[in-house]
Amino acid sequence: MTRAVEGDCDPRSAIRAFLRRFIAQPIGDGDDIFNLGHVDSLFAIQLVLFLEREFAIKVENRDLDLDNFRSVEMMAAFIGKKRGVAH
Amino acid sequence: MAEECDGGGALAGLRGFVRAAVVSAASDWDRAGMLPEGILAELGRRGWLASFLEPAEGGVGLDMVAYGRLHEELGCGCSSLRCAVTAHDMVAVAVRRWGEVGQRQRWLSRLARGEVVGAFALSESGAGSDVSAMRTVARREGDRFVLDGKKRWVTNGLRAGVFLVFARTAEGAGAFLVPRDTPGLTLSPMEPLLGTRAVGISEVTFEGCRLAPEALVGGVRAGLRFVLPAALALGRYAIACGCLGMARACLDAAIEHAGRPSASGVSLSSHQLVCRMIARMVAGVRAAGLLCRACGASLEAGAPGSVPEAALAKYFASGVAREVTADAVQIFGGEGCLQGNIVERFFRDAKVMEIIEGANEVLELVIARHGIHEYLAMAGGEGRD
Ligand SMILES: Cc1cc2nc3c(=O)[nH]c(=O)nc-3n(C[C@H](O)[C@H](O)[C@H](O)COP(=O)(O)OP(=O)(O)OC[C@H]3O[C@@H](n4cnc5c(N)ncnc54)[C@H](O)[C@@H]3O)c2cc1C
Repeated sequence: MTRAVEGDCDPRSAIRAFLRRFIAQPIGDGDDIFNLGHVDSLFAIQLVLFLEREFAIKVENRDLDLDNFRSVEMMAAFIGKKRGVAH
Repeated sequence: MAEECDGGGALAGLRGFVRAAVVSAASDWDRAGMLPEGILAELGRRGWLASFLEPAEGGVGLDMVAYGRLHEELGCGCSSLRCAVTAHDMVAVAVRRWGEVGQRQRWLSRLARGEVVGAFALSESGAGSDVSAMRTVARREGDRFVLDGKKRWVTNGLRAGVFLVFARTAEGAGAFLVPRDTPGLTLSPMEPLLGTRAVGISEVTFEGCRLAPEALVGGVRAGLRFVLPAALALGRYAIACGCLGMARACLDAAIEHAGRPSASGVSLSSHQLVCRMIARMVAGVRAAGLLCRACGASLEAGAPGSVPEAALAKYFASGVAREVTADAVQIFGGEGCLQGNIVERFFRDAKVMEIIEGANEVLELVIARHGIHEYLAMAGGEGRD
């Protein structure tokens, strides 16, 4: 998988591509992926590893709020916050 | 063990130690149903507990491939000892990954030195594979939590100084670090086990245990979603490597036995059907070895796929261990059924590996889903990770 270069402005397409592996149905950027009921118990940790590797960030214990990961939009905002870049 | 995989020198002397201090004693530990006092501290002194921690955290900074080698070598000698290290390390990895600075400072270096033994307390009666059925609860009382419930099957339970306990809260499932001397915590040994008899397995009961706010690891909803899978990925990988070790030890023992000439001068290895068993054993050990190395590399890279890859490695290597240990007993014949023969002990130990850290049928679901996800990634034009 090609990695998004640190500083890339929009992380959404890489996030969408990652999510397509787990969720077969089309999802909107605002959809709550945890409420769609298609993700299993190992999904969240894989998502964390993906975000860390793809966007060169470190997810810390204080970041473990599902609101950071619920939707493509929320993840993009979270990455922006971690990188100190406003989206 | 290839010398280039000695973890930058941190595994120097491991094979000799296992041969001299573990292989020769493991049958006695198995009979006694307990590891000797101080063996984990000895491993800690050698840098082999929570060995993935960086030196600044108290560890020796083993990379994940070398970490697998450590578990493979320990697994060659004694599954109980290897399991004890695995459970201990699962606590350390959870604290390292999701603990607060204060928790990391309080526990990590002590875990690495073996000054305190860690135990992982998730399973309950009726809530093993199905963790959602967990009944242990942690109620908030002011800034504290009060823990009530009972855990079963706690490896290291009888020796542990700290338990990582999973419990329901009003907001979700949390993971709590509970020191052994917490008032209201009681231990009772469980009945003798089929295999890995020396792990000091116990039930742990919590009755009104008042926990300090800093007991909670990773937040009140993080227990099952974040803390547990991080620990399980390491634990499953370690078990896979331990299974590889026990399969390798049984293969070596079986080849050695089959090569000995009988009274009539014929060796068992001259029989084609014995050779078929040996061929299957060799193939299984090789394949399990490759999966373990691949999983180690994936964990080291922090790949998202490393989590299901660890399930795959554990699933496959434990199946290989069951088959190889059974074939080794077969090749040894009556001698293989005698207590004190390593193949007899490993045969019992191997069965346990198919059940713990996710029964293999549960892991089949994880592996199938991972296969589907990878397929979808490829079909969508991405590579595998
Ligand atoms: C030696 C030993 C050490 C252990 N150490 C620890 C420890 O340190 N900490 C800890 O928390 N736990 C520990 N355990 C508990 C262990 O993790 C559980 O035994 C295991 O998760 C299985 O749960 P269970 O025993 O409740 O069996 P069950 O969940 O009742 O499952 C029984 C069988 O049913 C089948 N099954 C169950 N669910 C499914 C499913 N969804 N799909 C298909 N088949 C299924 C499987 O074949 C499984 O083997 C240990 C167990 C042993 C034996």
